[in-house]
Amino acid sequence: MTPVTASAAMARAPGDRSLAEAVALGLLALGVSAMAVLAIGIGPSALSPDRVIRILAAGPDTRAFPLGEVVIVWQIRLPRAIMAVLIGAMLALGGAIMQGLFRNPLADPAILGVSNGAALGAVSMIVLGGGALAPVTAFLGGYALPLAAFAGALAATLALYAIATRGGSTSVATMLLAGVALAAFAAAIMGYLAFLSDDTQLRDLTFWNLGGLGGVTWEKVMITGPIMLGVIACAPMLARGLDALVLGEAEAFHMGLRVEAMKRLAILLVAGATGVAVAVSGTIGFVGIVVPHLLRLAVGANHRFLIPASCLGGALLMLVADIGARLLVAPAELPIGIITAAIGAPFFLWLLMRRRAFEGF
Amino acid sequence: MALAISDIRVIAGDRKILGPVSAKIEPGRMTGVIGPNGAGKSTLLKAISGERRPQTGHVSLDGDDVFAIPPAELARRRAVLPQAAAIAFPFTAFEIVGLGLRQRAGLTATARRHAVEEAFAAVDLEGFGDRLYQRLSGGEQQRVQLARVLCQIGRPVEDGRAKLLILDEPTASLDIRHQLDVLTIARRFADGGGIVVTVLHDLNMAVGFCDRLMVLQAGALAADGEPARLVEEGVLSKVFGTPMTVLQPSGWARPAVLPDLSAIGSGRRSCALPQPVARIERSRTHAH
Repeated sequence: MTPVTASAAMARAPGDRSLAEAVALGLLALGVSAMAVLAIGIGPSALSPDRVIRILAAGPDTRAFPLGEVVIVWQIRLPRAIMAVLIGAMLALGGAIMQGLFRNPLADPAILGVSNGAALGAVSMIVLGGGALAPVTAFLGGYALPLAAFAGALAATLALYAIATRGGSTSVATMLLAGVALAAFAAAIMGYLAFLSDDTQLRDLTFWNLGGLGGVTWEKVMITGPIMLGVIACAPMLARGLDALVLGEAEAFHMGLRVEAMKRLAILLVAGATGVAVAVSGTIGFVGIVVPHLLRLAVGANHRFLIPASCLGGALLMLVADIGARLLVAPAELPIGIITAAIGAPFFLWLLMRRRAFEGF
Repeated sequence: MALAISDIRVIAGDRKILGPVSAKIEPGRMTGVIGPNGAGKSTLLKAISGERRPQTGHVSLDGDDVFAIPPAELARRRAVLPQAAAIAFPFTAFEIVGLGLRQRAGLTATARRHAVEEAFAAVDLEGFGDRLYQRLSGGEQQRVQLARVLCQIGRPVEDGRAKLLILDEPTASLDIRHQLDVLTIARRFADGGGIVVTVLHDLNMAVGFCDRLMVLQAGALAADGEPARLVEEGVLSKVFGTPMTVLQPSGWARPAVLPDLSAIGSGRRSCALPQPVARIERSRTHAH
């Protein structure tokens, strides 16, 4: 290939943002790696990024470094950083897919009650796991909690979709109000379950309810990590469909899409992402709103870009929030949801007002 | 072969929306669907496009039942221009038009780019690629959608098979020049051997551009035939329930029709005038 044809092939048409998308993905991946190293270094016994990298490179059984540092990096902070990355990816991905499915940038699992549905599933498993659901718990072991949360999230997503979408069009007001009602309903049942529970269950509930990434172990990562990686691996299959859906359901069909199958996969993935995230770290809000929206604003709305970029952006935001949670009130630790809500809630309100100003709702 | 509609009926609840309608639509012809509001025009298009299955009857494209063709294959054989709609996310015009190429495998990046730019040129939107779709005017959005549809459908005939282009009020939000542009594009698609079916509200555009008009009234086919003949027979006045004046401008191959506006602005009273207009007229008279 001559230089001329090569540069002609490289040149992009105006409005083709694929180059910017690729660059942004690269930068995000770099940012996530750098922030993960920082997150592993930061804590009561601080390690320089350089030292963190060398300890990581030396492997978990190294003798070249003090045992304490190796344990801190490999056993305490690395699983926590991995979990932060995966949970962040789940939250942002859940938001991106849900917004595509409802064709509305305000849709988000945490705001529309899907997270509460997942929490209800998890709470039911904690409270009833020793009694009514004992055989299920015994059979599923560590998977019981994420699966219960998934079931709850799925039920909530299906209910929301059925209520808010009629004949292929979604009403924003119905969607938001139905979400509020679903969340309140799930909260009511959770309250009742808490009322029913005995002292041990109550302690488990409180512990789980605090959420966050404290106490993440390799065991937890091994159980929930593969599920989350599965969700991340399936999500790109939705890219083409969600792009077409932007124009409307009928139009997506006209463009050759199997709309119903695509929507089913989208609902499953939203429920999967939200369920597993809630099971691990409780309800953490606003990541799913903030991350996809900023990415669309800064780079583009193409789902082939938005889906992987949301995973990376969510991971980045979660790592930052987790560092904040550990630093702000050290040596104690803030629940991470407080930080994401403090950033995200004002952002959400700004988004609402902007939409009202420009689009009149 | 062609598009064959045989005895279709669409019923919603206990209300008949459409049918029975039968028609055979040949390639190389542009067919207009006209009729009053609620006559079932959009429903007919939905049945033809494979979007809404009629309760009875069949729609087939080149002998294949459109409801049995897999969506991806159907998308390569027919495309649909929807009525303009807003989108919720910031896509560029280039990206929207590019969506039309998604079902066409094996195109190089350069070929894709050329296809998109050609489509932009066809709808008079060169240089609009990097504009955000949401920020375009209604008419520009409509033309971006047409460019997308042109990318999807490609050439009018491929592998000896005519393709089907369905347009739902393609001129609705366009100025007069772009109305002509868009209908000329459709006309050329038909002249190239494709099948064009379009809903039109502007009767003169319908009479001028189409080879055949299917006139729907209350869900049934009230008339079906050559535009000039339908005009001469006074079908339009009857179906739309308002008198029409037929004109034959010199040098025109086909007649033009006008609604009867003789009572308006002439100072003559007409019981057909809506009340508010009549009142304004009176108050003006008093002022003089």
